[in-house]
Amino acid sequence: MDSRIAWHSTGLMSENPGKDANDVLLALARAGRSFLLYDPGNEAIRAFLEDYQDSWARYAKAHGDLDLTVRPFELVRGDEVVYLERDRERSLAFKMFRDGVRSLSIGQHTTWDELLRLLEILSIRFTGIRQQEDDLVTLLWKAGFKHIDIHAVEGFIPDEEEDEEDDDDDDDDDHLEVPADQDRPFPVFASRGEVVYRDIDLEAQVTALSEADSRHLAEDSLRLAELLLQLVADEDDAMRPLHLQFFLDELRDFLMAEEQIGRLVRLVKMLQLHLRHEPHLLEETLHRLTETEALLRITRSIQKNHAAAPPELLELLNMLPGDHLAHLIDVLSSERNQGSRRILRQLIEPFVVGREAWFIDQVLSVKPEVAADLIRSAGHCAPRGLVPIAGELVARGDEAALTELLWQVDRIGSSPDLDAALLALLSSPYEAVRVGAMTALANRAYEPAFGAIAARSEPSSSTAELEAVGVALALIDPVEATFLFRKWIRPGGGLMGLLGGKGGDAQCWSAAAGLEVLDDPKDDALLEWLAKRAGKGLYARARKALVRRRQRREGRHG
Amino acid sequence: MDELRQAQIQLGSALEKARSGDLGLAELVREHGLRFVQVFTSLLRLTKLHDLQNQAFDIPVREFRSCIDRLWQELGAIHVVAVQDQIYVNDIRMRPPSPEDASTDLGRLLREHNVGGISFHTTMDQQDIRRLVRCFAAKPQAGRRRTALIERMRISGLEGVDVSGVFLFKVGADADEDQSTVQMMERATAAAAEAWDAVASHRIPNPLPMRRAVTEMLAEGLNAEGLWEQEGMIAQPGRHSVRVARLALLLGQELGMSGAALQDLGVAAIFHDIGYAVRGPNEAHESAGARLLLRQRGFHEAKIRRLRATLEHHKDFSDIGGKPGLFGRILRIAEDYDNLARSKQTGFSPAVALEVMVSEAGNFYDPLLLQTFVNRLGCYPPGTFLRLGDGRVVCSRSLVRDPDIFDRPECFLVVDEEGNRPSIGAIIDLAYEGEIMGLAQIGSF
Repeated sequence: MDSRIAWHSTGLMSENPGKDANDVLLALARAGRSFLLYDPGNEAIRAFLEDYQDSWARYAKAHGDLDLTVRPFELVRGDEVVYLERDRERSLAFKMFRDGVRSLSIGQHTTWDELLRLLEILSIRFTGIRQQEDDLVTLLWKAGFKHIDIHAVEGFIPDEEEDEEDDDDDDDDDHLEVPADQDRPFPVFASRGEVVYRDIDLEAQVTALSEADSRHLAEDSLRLAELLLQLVADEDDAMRPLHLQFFLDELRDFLMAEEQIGRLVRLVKMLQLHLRHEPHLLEETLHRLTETEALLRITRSIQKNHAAAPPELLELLNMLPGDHLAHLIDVLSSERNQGSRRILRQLIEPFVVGREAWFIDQVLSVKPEVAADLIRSAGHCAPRGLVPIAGELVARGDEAALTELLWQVDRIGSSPDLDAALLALLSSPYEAVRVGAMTALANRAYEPAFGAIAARSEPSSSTAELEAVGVALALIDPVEATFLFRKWIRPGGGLMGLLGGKGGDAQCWSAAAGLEVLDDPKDDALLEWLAKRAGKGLYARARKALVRRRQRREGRHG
Repeated sequence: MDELRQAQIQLGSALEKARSGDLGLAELVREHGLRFVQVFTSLLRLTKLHDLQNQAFDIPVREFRSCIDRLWQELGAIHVVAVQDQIYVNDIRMRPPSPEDASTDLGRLLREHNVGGISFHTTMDQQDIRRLVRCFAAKPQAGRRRTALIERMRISGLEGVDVSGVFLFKVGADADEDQSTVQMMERATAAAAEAWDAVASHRIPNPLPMRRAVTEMLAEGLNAEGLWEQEGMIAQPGRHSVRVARLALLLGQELGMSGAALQDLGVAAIFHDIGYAVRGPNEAHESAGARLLLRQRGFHEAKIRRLRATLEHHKDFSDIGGKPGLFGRILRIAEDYDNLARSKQTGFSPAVALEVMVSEAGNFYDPLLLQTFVNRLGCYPPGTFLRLGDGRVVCSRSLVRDPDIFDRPECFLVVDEEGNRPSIGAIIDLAYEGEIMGLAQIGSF
């Protein structure tokens, strides 16, 4: 139930302070929940934040502090219920109550930073992430608010009425005892020093404090990994790689999320050093660094800030065991994020060297959408490898793969097989593929395609395809194309006769597009003639061709 | 960039960090946790219909095993708590698909045994599961329902399973709850001792109660009360841990650490010696402690620093392998001070403990941190017995109040001018009266 509806329907409040408080709390709850639904950059989140900011400013200016009592489903200001939400999953009140918060005071002078921090803490709880370390109370306390105050009790407690007489849970005698050798032997001190007050050097103090800063965490974690691995390497110590398994996974995920690739490389070097006498364990541990989920996390993270895969990531993969090429292709198969796929393609390319034939085989064995990615990679690192499979790709007829093949075709170079394949693509059911094929054939000036391309100028063709036909013909054989275009525009009369009617609109369109890239000045009159007799669209096309031809000539002479 | 855009980036980044290591975990716990609860409830219900040998148990027992394996793999320990009409699995509330769902009945079935929560600290095979179900199937004994269940479980060899009492949501603080420092220290000590007991029984350490205790300490204020009692090495492990925590917090606070870092430091201090509870023969407690703390799942800044501190709290500042981390260096000072100032073996007064430590600044101890510690505790730290010029003996009871009176603490009277020992020692502020002649022997009083 929406608490705003509850407000109106129950008539719980009628004064402005209550209404304004309700606005603030609704905005806070919505903004907190919104991170479950939207990407942080989403405009909806921006709107929620703006609402939160505005509603608080309004409340604080008019009414000062907001002091709330927290009940299971309600937040109460004075005697008024100013927030009511009975759905536990959505309820701001329940989240706080469940963790033990019993009152919350937001001071009039609370800063935007503090309001954001409050929202952050509530959002983290809304996401339902495991919080073995913190709960809402400790998070709120940790935040060190200056203007926000909470009163808390333990969230849920044993029901004392149900205690059993002989339940010995609280019997102190049952506690473990301190071992006799605890912290023994004590360090040996040879002398006594002078205990005097001395001012602390500010710079040294700041340096020491920086070690407790979150920015130091990655370095701290690596040092911890090193200490633990040293214990693993110590035969006399009971620490075994198995004990480190979860920690290493967590550390890997953290470093990846933070894009700390250089530190991941250091971690791998540490593992190689300390586990060198246990090759199987080493391999297994290293293998975990390249698990699909792990690679997906890092590529998703990297693509947000980088256009290309950082070199350290390649260095990292090179240090790890396994068939990275096959694995990266697998990872690519399970990833839909375009940025992440771009990074994966870049990672794949260096591993193709020396395995071109195998890689090209994969193009035919993977899903069509992945095939398109592999074709793009092949275009960069093994373009000639695409020649033998072009025919097969054409026969399969997948649009994404064929479109990608056409993008890469200029890198492949000349090949009769490829030319034949491109020719066959002129019959593809996909317009984008046909247009791409025409362009590719034109760029290769493949004369045998002239007739087939000309045949694509049909009334049912789109203007994009008609354009492509004209341009392709003009590029493949300018002389033959000029004759053909003239015939298409005025099928019944020669240039000098100025007799007869106009050709079909489709062919006229292709002819205009083709003449636009050709140079014979005599055709200006033909285009003028066409413009006078054409409908609106074709008129504009003919005029455009004329303008471009003149501009080109003027540019040449000027 | 405008304020709102900046806020979006800040919040997005904070949430991503919070999720680090826990990707998809909440969803997994919701999915498998609910099934786990449903199957467990079904098993308990089945005991009311069939004999335990009945084949009707076969499938749910197998499924329960599969659920417990999956959850244990992710969580390390599974805590199912029924609070009133709700069920939580490791702090995540289960959402039954309908009000009639099997899971909604678990609370009632557990309450038949006066139980509100059940924790699984190990995986279980099918025989274990059948034994557990058998324990719950037995008729509850009036007046000692939970106790009887625990006995049955112990006899059945189910050492990896714990049950707890019925829970209620606490509505407010008790009016008569004692908020004094001593009582607060006692509560923290009890929590620390329970943590030792729990890990000794192969339970995964749970930092949250420690964090609550540290939060209370910091909220209460780190005054000197509770820092001077002469009790030697009292046989309860929590005492040393909590005192070390207070000393570490004093140092950290004097250094200027943030509230968040202080909280993490306090928890690290309470756990620093926990390896003693689980170490093997001839094993170093630092390594044993680290091994234990590694069992807690999830990447967290506090856990990383706690682990480092546990491993490094006996390392010298000048160690050739590199200086220990900040928490380790702080704990080294706090722990050595607590040990030296309290041990009957050394016979050091707090003031002498500090003097000998100062002689090792730069070698054992980080000189900056040690000086910070000295600046807070003073020339005569709480608990130091002093002989005054007029024959009185006093015991210091304050931390440094001002650098100008660094060597003149507030004290309480132990022996008056006539050599009598008053039952309640008057407060004597050496900043205003009394001439210190020297340290008095501890043993004399």
